[in-house]
Amino acid sequence: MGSWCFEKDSNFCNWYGMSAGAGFHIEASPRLTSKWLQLDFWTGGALLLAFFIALPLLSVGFFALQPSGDIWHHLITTVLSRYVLTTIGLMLGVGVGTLVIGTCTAWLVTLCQFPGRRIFEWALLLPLAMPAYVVAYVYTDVFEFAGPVQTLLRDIFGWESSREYWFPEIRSLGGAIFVMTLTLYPYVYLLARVAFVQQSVCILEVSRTLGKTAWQSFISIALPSARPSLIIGVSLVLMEALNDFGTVDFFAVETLTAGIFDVWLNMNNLSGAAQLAVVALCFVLLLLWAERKSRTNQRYFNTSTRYQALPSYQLRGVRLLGATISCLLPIGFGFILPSCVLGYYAWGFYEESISHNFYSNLSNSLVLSSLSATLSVLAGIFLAYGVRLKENTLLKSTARFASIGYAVPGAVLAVGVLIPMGKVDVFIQGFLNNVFGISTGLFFSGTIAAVTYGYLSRFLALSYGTMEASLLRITPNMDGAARTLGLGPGRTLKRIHLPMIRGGILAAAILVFVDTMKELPMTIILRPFNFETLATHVHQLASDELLEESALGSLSIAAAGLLPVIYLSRTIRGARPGAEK
Amino acid sequence: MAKLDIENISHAYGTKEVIENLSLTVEEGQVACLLGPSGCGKTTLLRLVAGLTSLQSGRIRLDEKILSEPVSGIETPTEKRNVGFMFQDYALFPHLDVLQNITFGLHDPSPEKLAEIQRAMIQMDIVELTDAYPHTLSGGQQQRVALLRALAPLPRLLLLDEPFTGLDISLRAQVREDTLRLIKQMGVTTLMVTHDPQEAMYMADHILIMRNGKVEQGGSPREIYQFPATEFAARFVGQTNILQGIVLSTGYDEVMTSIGPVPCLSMRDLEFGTDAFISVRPESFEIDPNGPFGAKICTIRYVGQSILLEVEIIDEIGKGHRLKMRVHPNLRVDEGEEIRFRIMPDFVTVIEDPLDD
Amino acid sequence: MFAALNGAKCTKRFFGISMFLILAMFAMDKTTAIAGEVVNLYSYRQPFLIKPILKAFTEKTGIKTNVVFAKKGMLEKIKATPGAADAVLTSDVGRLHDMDAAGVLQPINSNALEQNIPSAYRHPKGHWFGLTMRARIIFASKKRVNPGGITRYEDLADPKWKGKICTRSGKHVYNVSLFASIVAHSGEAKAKKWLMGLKSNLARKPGGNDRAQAKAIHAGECDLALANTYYMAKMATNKKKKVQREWAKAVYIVFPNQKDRGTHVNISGAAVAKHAKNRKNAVRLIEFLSGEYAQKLYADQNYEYPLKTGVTIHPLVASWGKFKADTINLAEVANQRATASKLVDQVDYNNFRPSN
Repeated sequence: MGSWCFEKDSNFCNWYGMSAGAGFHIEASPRLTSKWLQLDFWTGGALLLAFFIALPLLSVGFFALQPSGDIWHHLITTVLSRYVLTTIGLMLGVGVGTLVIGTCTAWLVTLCQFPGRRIFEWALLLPLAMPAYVVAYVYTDVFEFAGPVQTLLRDIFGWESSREYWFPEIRSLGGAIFVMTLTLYPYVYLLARVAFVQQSVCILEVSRTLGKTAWQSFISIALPSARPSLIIGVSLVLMEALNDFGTVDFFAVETLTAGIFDVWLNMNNLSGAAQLAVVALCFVLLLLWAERKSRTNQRYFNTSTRYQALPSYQLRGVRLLGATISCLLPIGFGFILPSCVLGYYAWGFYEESISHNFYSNLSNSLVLSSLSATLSVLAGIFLAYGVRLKENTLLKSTARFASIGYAVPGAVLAVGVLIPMGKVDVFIQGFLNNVFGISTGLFFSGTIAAVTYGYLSRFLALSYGTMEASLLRITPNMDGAARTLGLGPGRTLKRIHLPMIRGGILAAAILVFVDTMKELPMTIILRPFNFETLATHVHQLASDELLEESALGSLSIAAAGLLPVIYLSRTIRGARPGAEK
Repeated sequence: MAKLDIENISHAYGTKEVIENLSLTVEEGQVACLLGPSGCGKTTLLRLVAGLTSLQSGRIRLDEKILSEPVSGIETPTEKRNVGFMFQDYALFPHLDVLQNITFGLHDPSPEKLAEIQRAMIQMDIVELTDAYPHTLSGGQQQRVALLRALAPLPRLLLLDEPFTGLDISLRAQVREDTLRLIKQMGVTTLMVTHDPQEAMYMADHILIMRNGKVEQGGSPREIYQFPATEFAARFVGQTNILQGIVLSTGYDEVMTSIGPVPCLSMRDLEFGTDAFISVRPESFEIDPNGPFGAKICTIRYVGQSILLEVEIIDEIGKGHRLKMRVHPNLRVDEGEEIRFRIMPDFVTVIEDPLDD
Repeated sequence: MFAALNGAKCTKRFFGISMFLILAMFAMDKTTAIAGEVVNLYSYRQPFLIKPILKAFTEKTGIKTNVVFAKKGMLEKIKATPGAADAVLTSDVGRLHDMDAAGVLQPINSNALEQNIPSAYRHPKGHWFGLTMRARIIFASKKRVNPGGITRYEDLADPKWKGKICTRSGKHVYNVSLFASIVAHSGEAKAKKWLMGLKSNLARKPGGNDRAQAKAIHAGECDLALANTYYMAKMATNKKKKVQREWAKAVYIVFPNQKDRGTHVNISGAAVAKHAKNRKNAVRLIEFLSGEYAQKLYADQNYEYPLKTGVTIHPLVASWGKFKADTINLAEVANQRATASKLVDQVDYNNFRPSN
């Protein structure tokens, strides 16, 4: 019985259709008899949760429905085409860049033998801990006309003005692509590596026996079979690139996001901005739809339950050199160089940077990030498991919808959080005041609940995506086995799924943790009074053009992300069934 | 142990009907086997019984307890059905060792229970693997762990999905024997599915031949083999020769075919003069120099326990018919040789009209 | 959320951690726990700029200040959470104008404020009050631009400066404000023509911040740039960053349009939120900010021009000489911001490409 009768149904493809579909859905009965309300605890709960998380997005959509004056006429006649083209250019550049770097380096460190491989394994993840906007500051300092590189060139060649030579302008689309590729490729690397580590050797060996070279096997076998993971990685990257404001603003690159802020803040037109945000979202949806279309009937369960050690190709000579350089470059440009520059600044401006509340900022960052990571992962598990339990189109599309919050610029989503949260607050306040005569502060928006909610809405894509991909690697028969052995859905989750997807949980938690450490716009808008994190501290200084003073803060953000990132890399190595832990 | 009743169930995925109005019964302590080609709905049936897929119409009962009945909104959750399920891929929990896997379905197993499990593990020859993890086990070992895991909570019904397909041929016989012995020893009512007729014949007290979501024929292995009801059933459990003819007389139990009158054990109460198709198993032929039939040998296949011959027999109007026959391995014949034989009625039966397809 | 947590029946550990974190979340809330006199501020200005002043305010009045700093989303936050903020501090008149237009401010009658702040720099009905002023001036290269070589904003569009001007993004609030003032004075058509001229004189794609423009002049990339006054002072007095002092040395300040309407200025200001719960305290704070002590601090620490008459300005700022400020009502300028911003789009200002 190689194939189930209904496996070919394309509707089973989950999560934007980018991941493999679960063939079976293990019914979480008992349930109500009504055909319309077939909602048990899991489906209903997950549906509620997904809706709760999607609420900020919905309120952005609500803004978009408001009239926005003649803004579209202006946009269409002037900048819209450029916004769109620039955005496409940015997404293309960053998408291709991260795909190439992420996949190649992942392949090299997973299946080739060369000195330093073990270090590269985790070091390649390091740029993940670097906020893109900080890297943008640093590279502007280094590569601009007045920066050390061009100054040196001028000194050497005796040039006087910029007209006498050509040097790539860092404040440009190319510069933005460069910076974002360097800081975002670890997403692709991470997911590609997980896929390569977990793939069955058999198919690779089959390919070799059919006369393909190692390189051909990589192209024709390993890549396609890692495709769901690569797609998830690249879409995370693209969503990040799309929502980024810090970098494109600093480089004056006019993407849709830059346009959103322009319309919102300079033209004081929030609904126009929300409409642009919806246009930007259409990009993501279009992309995901195209991807789904292109592989309707494929599915990717692991076929083999037995594993051998991965083969490893010993590299020599030119190949060795090439591999080493390929791994060194992204690490060097994405992490080492920026940290050196930052370190140099931090060293020189230590007294100015170490404010008296540095430690409270640090602890605020850590608590917020842990909170955000925990809640996101819990929500991700709940949703992904709810979807696994029962094929429910409404639930699946709500969860999917909730996770595109990742593609919305943080500040816009923050405004989306403010509205429902403010409403609830005002209601609670009024209620307490009327009934008990107590005058309280604003319960949610006055505490870090607001910002935590914001993170949940923003980072669900990371946790839900990872959880769903992890769950998909578990054959539904595991659920069946546990259920026939007398376990309900909850205990099955606890005793079977959670232990089996431990690696995925950890990976999701760490991704969210590191991203929250770096997160800026939502934190700024949604934080309570007198609340500083490392990121807001950095922003505060950087926004007053005090890059050197903010260096220590930036380094701390990177450092706080460092340990989890290294730990993450170790868990991947152990992710191979039967691997030495 | 319990009796399983499946009544008029149907199931469709989308518009594709996988099971159509199917009924069957597995008696207490019986090993029943659903036999059919891939994609005929066997596995779906098992999943419906286990409650892993919810039933769309019909009724499933275990003794008097209704497990599923959509009409009355009953759908007992899988975990409350007390059925054991062994999956084709075994679905061993990779993060648990062998003993943890086997005792997974037990709450606080007593020392006696553990001792019992230990004995079963000894019997199944996996006792030294107690602490091993699934990925280090061979296929046969995995199968036995999965079986013990399914049996450990003493289920009222055991469901086996292609239990031996994942195994090497050389292992199969032994594992099959061990499995059957354990099941019989525990007396658990068992419903298994397979596409392998040998396996079904070997294991089952009762075989149900499934085709396109329906039960084509049910019966003991002997009944199925000796008296297949349809050409499909006849061909699925072995080789056969299908001949067309007219019932000569209910008294003599002979069917007049184009090669002559063939004695037939089961006439299915057809009346004199009716058109009928008969299935003649290769075992029906006996070499006899004085036999009424004569034919030329086309091919000879010596398979050890017997010889398979394909012969050509010319009928009255000079048309050739190919027949497969199984003869004693002692027989020495050559291709092209003329032989004479007769047909014994024991493995000849009237079947329903073969389908056109 | 809690239902989700319960239902997931996640391990106790997981649940414990989340409970701890949620408790931590409320424990970290520093505002609701503290009773007593407070004033809650939403600030567009960086905390470190106003912290010393707020500290002095608390010492003097016993009123504690709670601040949250952000550059975006403040208006939406005030709207969504009425009563959360008592007062708003901004670094730009445009924001005050937007908030007023959105109806989230309330009028204040205060003799002290009316005395301290000249009427040109406050809302006629007291919806907002300016506190300090800065001028958008031209940085000119000491080496390559003779004194008197440029005197008006309009001259920036003169083809003789082709390839010699640097600015930050045309969409930056400081530039939008300047462009809006040109629209207010000369009308949209002329302003557009001027902006096109300015664009064609650019030396490089607009970008970086105001200091970076001085840096570019120092490096010889361009000769003229637009900047705010206080950046000059901040660079010139930077103790630690020698390079910034050098950038400052490479340029001199030109106050444009002295012979006609005056140099474009912008203000930082304050306003009281409509649903302020601590209205009195908010008014006291703004009065304090307009008072002698705070104004002196603004002048000395951030090198801005105090609006209260009689407050001495920083000696360095004074050394640039007195200048005539554009007296057009700032609300009128603010009204033109959307137009100015659209002009930037129309001339495709930020998309400048140097043609060799």
